Amino acid sequence: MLSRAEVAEVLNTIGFRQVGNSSWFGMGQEEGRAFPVFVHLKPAYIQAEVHLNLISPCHISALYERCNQINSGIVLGKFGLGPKDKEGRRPLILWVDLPTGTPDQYVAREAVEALLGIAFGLIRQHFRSLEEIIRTGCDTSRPAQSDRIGGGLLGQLRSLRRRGQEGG
Amino acid sequence: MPNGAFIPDQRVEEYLAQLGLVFHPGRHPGTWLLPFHDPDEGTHTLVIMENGQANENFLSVFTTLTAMVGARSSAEKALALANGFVAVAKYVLIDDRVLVRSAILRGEGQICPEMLRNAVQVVLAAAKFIRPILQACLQGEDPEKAFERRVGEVTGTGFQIGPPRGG
Repeated sequence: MLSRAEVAEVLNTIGFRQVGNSSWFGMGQEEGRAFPVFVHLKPAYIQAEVHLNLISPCHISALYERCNQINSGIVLGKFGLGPKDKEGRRPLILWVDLPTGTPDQYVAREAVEALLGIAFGLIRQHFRSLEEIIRTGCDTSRPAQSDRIGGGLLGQLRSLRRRGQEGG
Repeated sequence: MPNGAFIPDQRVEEYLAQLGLVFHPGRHPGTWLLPFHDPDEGTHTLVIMENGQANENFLSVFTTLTAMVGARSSAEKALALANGFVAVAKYVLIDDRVLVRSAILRGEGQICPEMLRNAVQVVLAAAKFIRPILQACLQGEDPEKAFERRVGEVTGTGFQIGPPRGG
């Protein structure tokens, strides 16, 4: 088991540089592209965060469905949406994380290797399908809204029917 | 995995006892049920721990939440957003039911008691975070609005779940 300080040393050795109290930054390559990677060494967990350079500009239900499909089928790692940018768009990000122990018994060396190995394995497997979904563009109507519109129309129909029955 | 050695079930039980967590044997060997009550929220959460049952390389910690029948599409968006907000725990929707999961490598020498505690704690915190969002989705509310409102609530004061209280 490595201490937190030893994990930081491993990250420095493999080319990451510290960019804050608990974060390290590096670049990874996969699918012929470069991806920014952050590794966070938090008190309760270690996390690799890979920015996929894919932006969701709007509601894309196929994207949420695909993320859930992928996330359901893997033990470690998850694709999800990050915070909104100034234009209200959200980046698609891959996180791979594990709970940690104490600062002295922080995490096993294999776990650090696994985080990055799994992250880039997931990019190899899923990046293109996610990119393709985003490229197909936004939903023309949002499901939650269309549900509400549907509900509203039903309500109006019922009201009209009642009026018809009442002779209105 | 060094020598293919995994943490034995007995050691998991020793760790849970050491952490002061109440647990009961599950339906299968190598599985345990950990009940939690949150008096502030009035919720009961049953956390399930399994030692390599689903995948031999991992000890899994999870809980099952609301059924999202009729709101699958909204739930998928809510989970995509929430997965980007909550660390370590992962939300998935399987057969219309939301699960919160976390996992730990279970090789001997890769696991210590605090990892179990942290895994349980993140699953509880993640469950607490998403419940109101899922309820809003079931009521036909826009998942993004519900998510943003919840984020506003928890990044203000008071969203802290302390060390898990067993039993």
